[in-house]
Amino acid sequence: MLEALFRPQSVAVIGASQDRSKIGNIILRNIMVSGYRGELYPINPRAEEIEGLKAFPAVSTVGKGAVDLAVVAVPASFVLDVARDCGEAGVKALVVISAGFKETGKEGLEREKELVAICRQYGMRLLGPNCVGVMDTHTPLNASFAAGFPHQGEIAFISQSGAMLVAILDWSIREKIGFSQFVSMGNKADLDETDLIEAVANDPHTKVILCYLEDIKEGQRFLTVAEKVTREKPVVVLKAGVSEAGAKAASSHTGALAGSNIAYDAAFRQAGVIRVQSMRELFELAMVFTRQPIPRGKRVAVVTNAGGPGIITADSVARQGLEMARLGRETAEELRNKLPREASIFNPVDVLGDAQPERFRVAIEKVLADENVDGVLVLCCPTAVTDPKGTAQVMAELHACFPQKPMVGVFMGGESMAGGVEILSQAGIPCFTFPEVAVEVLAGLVRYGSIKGRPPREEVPSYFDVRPDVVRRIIKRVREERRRTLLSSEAAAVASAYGIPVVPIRLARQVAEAVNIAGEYGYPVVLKVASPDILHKTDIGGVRMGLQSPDEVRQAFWEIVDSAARHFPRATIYGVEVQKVYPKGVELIVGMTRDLQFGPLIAFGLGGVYVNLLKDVAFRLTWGLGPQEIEAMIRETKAYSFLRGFRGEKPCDLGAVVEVVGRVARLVTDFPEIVELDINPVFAYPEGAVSVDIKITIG
Amino acid sequence: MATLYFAGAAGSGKTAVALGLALHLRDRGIAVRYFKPIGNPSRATGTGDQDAALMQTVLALPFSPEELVPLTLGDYYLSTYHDYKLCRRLVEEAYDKVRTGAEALLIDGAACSWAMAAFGLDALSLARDWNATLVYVLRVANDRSLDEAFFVGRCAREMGVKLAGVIFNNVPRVLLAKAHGLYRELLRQQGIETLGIIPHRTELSAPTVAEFYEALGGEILTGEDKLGNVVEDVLVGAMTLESALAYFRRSANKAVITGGDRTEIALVALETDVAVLILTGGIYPDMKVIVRAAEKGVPVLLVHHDTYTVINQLADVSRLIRPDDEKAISLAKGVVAAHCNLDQLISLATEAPGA
Repeated sequence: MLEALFRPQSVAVIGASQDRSKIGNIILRNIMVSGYRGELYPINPRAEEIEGLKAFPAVSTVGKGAVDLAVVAVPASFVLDVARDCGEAGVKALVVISAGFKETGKEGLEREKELVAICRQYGMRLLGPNCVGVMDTHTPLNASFAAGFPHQGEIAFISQSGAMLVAILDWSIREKIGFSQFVSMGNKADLDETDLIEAVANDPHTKVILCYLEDIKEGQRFLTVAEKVTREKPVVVLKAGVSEAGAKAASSHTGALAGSNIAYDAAFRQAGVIRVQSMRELFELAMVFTRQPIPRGKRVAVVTNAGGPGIITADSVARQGLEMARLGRETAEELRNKLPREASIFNPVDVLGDAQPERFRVAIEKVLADENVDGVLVLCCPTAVTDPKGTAQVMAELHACFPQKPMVGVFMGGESMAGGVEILSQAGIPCFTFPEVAVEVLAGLVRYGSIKGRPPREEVPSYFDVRPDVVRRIIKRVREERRRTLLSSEAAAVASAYGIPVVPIRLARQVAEAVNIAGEYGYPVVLKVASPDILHKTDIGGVRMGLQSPDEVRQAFWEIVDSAARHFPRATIYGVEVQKVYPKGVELIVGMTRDLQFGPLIAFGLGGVYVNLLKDVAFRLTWGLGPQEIEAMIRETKAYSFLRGFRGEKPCDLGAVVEVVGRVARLVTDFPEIVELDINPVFAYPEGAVSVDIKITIG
Repeated sequence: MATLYFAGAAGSGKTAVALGLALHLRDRGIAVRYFKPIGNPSRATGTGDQDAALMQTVLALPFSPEELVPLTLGDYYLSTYHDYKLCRRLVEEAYDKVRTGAEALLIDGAACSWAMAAFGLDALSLARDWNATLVYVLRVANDRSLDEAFFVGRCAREMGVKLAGVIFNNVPRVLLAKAHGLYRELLRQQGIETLGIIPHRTELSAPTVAEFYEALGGEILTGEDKLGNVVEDVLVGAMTLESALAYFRRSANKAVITGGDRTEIALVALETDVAVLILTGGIYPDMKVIVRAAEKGVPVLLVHHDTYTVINQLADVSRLIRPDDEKAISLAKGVVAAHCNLDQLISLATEAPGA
């Protein structure tokens, strides 16, 4: 995929210049220096020859179909003409380096739209505009204006920030970290992260995909593609703009709208993307993914020559969600026989401060051979007799014997450790100075193991009994009344039409009507003011509970209307809604907000007054959300402890709660016009569940 | 020849009703004229009374603006027009000129019925002096709106002005049944007739961005071609980024007012249904805001006032129908036919009241 971008047979550099300080010249030389083996054409109407190559006045003069990839570095005002010429000449892909598009204003926006239209017309793919370019170390091709070319490797890096890419490149050259592909996306006018992830996933040289993203252009497509790709190769994303300050910076940087951070989290988790919070983590994970195997499980054995660091490591292992392996009886026996009596033969295995490489070998070999161990962390502290080089050599040999189990080293120290660190590095064993980071990368490997081995996407149940016609009718009426929020009675009717059990509630425009409904429901009843303009009804005396008689209903009706009119003189008051009273159950909240990038985002947690206090809420996108994933979401919350039966209470009907969430998901999927939905509380009972108060906003 | 005097509060839709009726009269070959003794000064743009300009164009009236609207109701009109006798004469002369040859004369009231009462030029006094029939146009918000009709009815009776009846205009859907049942009946008991109950029509009643622009002035950064967008609600973007989206979603066709430096709030607002983005404090926004607004086709207005001042200035902006707004003009005609007693209005406008 995107062969023309990464592995073109021929490249034209438009705006190639004889002046070595010009971007067009730098790109041309970059391509030459990178060792590109295809045809290369400098395009410049005012030059005969550039850098020893014959120059052409336009791509079309090179010949129809002669150029696969055109790299454009001319001023923005010429780009459209250039693109048309490329289209006519049958160019397959354009990399537009030039700035002066959407990022500069309205005029630029129009130009960018036009550029995309031209590319579509001729079937050309477009990278950029306003980007640094593209590199592939295996082609090899450096179609960028970056200084330097990365070492060959297996990491693909896709970046929304050109500067980030250039900085990483520079750093990686010194650190000898290799890359397979480097892509700068610029304005993402055509090719975006989803296209590029899909393309690099198909690159046989790429083992791990890294992304620096400020936003995601097409959320749903990203989910679908990433979900597939992550089953084959790890995708690690650093998503910038998490904090409000960061979002502000991101929005003014590329025009990315700061989507909801929570939605990004849910999206990445559901698509199997590993999200990291720092640049350091991004590259440490990348390195470990290229060098170490994916473990089968999360049981870690620690071999150390010092007690204290061993304990710290064990703490770290627990904190990162890994487990300290329980060594098998045979392993323990052998370790007891072969290690000094003072040594600890349980995990962490302490080979003592006087350990020479051979003693390390005994311990590491035995734990690697133990089927209760999924990965090994070797800790080496400098003592008078420590031999870091020898120890590293032993590790390298054993890693070669057990290549299916990941091994990381922690060589605590500086100068005296350098030789050993170098040997580990050569052997592809990641080595760190302190244990926390080492555990972090092991945890990353384990996490990807569970992502890779996750079950196939579950079926989303269809609930054949739903009544979209009823919902459509209600929404139509609300629209006709030029409202965006539904009355509680309307929202209840909508939920009910989708098989979500609700406490009966009806609108009474007049007192007599209210009394009739109350009589029908049976006392006690609740009265609530019915107004689309009043959001927090309780605060203004708009709700009266536990009304026991027709007289109390009459009295409450007038008081509610009065109080509402006093607090909101301009509000439209439809009347009062009468609701039946149900016994209290475990109070839950089921909410939905339609995320701008990813669509409906479901929230679940403890409801009622706990929502704001405990913030006990888990989130999932409705994308691919089936009963198992819903249950997993519920399990993430404290509400789950209540549902299981907290302190001797009877357990609640988990299946009924799962179904409420599932049906809400179906409702908001069927009706994209529902932009916000909140059920708070849902009462869960030992048998069944019921929605008490439902709020719906339509867009 | 008869004279109908349309009175009512600012924004009640007097002009729209008068316009609708005038078009029906014209269709019937009746020479209809329009007169507005006391006009509104328009604010930021400094042009004359817009209602008169509309009627002049639509009815092709052969009069100057000064003849159609002899006086303007400024906030300090007593200083401008210190000679009240002269004012009276100007109004009388213009009135005589406009009505000569007319078969029906529709008089449009000032922003309120008691405007220029200091000079004896309030709606009831003029209606009495000119033997005009009063039609009271009432924008219904709630039950209290009805009091206005009763009060005017009583005043008219006291002053010996003939009140033809009341037209409920811009009635919210939720009050329609009540207006048809209870309101009409209560008025009937007091001898006041209901001549029409016109349901709320956003296309006619909500102000457009153009009216906002006229009230606020400022600079249009993008969307010059979208000034006809109807504004149904005004929201202030002063919340945190997390709560902004849900807040903006609750309302449609809204004006969002926020500081020019609140890039993220503006961008979130643009993801919802926005009629106009008003950026305050004279702070030129980030280019991304303008680009996104241009993509979405939302006009952006940059004003120099602070947010509070802007809200105050918008408080009494109401819809103007412009001469080139054919849709609104034909809608005005349509609603008068559909929701008013048109035959009765026509006879009121053409048959001289019984002496």
